[in-house]
Amino acid sequence: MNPNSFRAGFLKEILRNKPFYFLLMPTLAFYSVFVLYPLIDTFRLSLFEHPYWPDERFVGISNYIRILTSDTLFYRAFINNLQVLVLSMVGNAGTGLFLAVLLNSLKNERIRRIYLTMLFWPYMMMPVAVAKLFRRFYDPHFGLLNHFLESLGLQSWTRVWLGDPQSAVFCVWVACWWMSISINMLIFYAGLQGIDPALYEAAQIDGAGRLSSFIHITVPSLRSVIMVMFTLITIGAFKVFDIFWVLGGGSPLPAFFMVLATEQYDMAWFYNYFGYASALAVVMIIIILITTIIYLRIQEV
Amino acid sequence: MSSSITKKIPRFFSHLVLLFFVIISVYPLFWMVLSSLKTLPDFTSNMWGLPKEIMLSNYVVAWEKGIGTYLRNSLIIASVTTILVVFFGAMAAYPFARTGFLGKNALYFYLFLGMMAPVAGIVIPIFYLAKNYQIANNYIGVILPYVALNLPFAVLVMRGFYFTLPPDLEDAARIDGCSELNIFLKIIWPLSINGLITIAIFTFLASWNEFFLSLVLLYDENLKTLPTGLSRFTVTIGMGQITYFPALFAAISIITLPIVILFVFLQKYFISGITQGGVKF
Repeated sequence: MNPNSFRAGFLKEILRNKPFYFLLMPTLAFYSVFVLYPLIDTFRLSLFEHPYWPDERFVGISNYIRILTSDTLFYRAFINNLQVLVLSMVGNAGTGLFLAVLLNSLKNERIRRIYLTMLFWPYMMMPVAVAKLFRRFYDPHFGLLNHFLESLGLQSWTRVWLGDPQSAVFCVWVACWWMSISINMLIFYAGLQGIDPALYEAAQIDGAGRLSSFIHITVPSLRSVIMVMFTLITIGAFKVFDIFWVLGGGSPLPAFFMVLATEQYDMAWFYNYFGYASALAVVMIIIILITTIIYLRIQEV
Repeated sequence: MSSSITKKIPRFFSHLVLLFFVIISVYPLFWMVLSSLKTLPDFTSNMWGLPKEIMLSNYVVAWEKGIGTYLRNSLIIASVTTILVVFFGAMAAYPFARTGFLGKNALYFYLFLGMMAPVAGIVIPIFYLAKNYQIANNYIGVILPYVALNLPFAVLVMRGFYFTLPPDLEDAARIDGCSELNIFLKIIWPLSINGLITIAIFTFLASWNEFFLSLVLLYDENLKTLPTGLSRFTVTIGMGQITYFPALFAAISIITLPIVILFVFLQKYFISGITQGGVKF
């Protein structure tokens, strides 16, 4: 092929679609400057000790080596993120699916609507407000939770919920779970409505019970919805920041309250180790990227 | 007989479980509003009951201790972000939903990547970018990254919406000699109102709730948004030793109200947006 005619065709193709590129331009510009450039720059900054300072000192990959070999806080934070991930996979997705199946089993369309609306209240609150509210619930002296347990005669169960390394992460997760009940239910509910009712009728004729048609029809039909849900939950569990930061009482957070994003924040804005914080951010990006690729691969199979 | 009982028991069970979840969803908010109306002694001694006297002044206190300022800042930032995202997002989604052009799939993947980016991964360069161009501690400094962060999701949802519009209309216009740009402005745009409302709601909510970037970029007390302002919000009385909790609950009640109003009027868009975002990822 003549390279000149190829180039001419290429140019013609671009000119023909000029209006499309024009429509895309503002979005690509915003995105490139405020998302892509910062992502790439974070990689560069992670190779310095004090980026942007007059003596920024290039240190190569030693920030990463420190994270992986001697940062106990990082491992604690990573384990806390993993705890949130596992609790959310089981608890949030489980509750969502369970409630969606129950809602779908109701015959009356209007009653379904009423339940849906009533369950939406927590979603309307801002996460920071939820954190402030739950801080009051967990308060050892004036908190609803300890008060409630005492009134049931369960004094021995009361504790300093957020000050106790045993219960802190779980308590934070409960607040996250409470906020997300309606969304998880709604996503599964939409998925359930897409299932052909004839499948259930056929199963009934074959003598399949409720449980067996749930396992053999409902779950396989929701496969892609479940995968999307797990992807969103995984990304969310590694990104989580505000609710931990506020429930933990602000920087610097105690170790048992640390997640990757709060460690990144404390390192940068409390201790001013911007290079180290950038390296932490890169580790977060890599973790999120790898898990997303794994999910996309599973979904393709 | 027996079959009617076995049918009724599961339905009764469904109602029981759903009601339980309605209670745990609604009660904390109900308790919060009740507590926001109490005096401090009433709140500490009578935690579960109704207020003995209605203290509407708690709301005035919360408003004057900063909530009024934070609310103004949040409304400005979230509204401007929403307008820009709706405008640019609706434009950018159209080429992705229609004819193939060079680099379409690559560009779509490029945008899609950004939906996963954690704020922690972009915050430090954005801070220095804002500082160098003198837009740190300024509305513009947060609005610009908010627009960029919300555009990928808006493009995704709008692209799904454009797929539902019949292409016949555009073809007819094209035959009449209408230019691509005019087709978009005069035919597609007016038909897209439902999609535009959906992306407007979710952009507004995302920028209304956003915490990390505004914590880093807006440090002036007068410029703080609701999430960052509320995170440090306490009202003390006496010698500054005693926390006045009812004012905190009044503050949270005030800031939840705008979203409740939005939800009441635009409920179906909330629901369609979540299902689209989740199912058609």
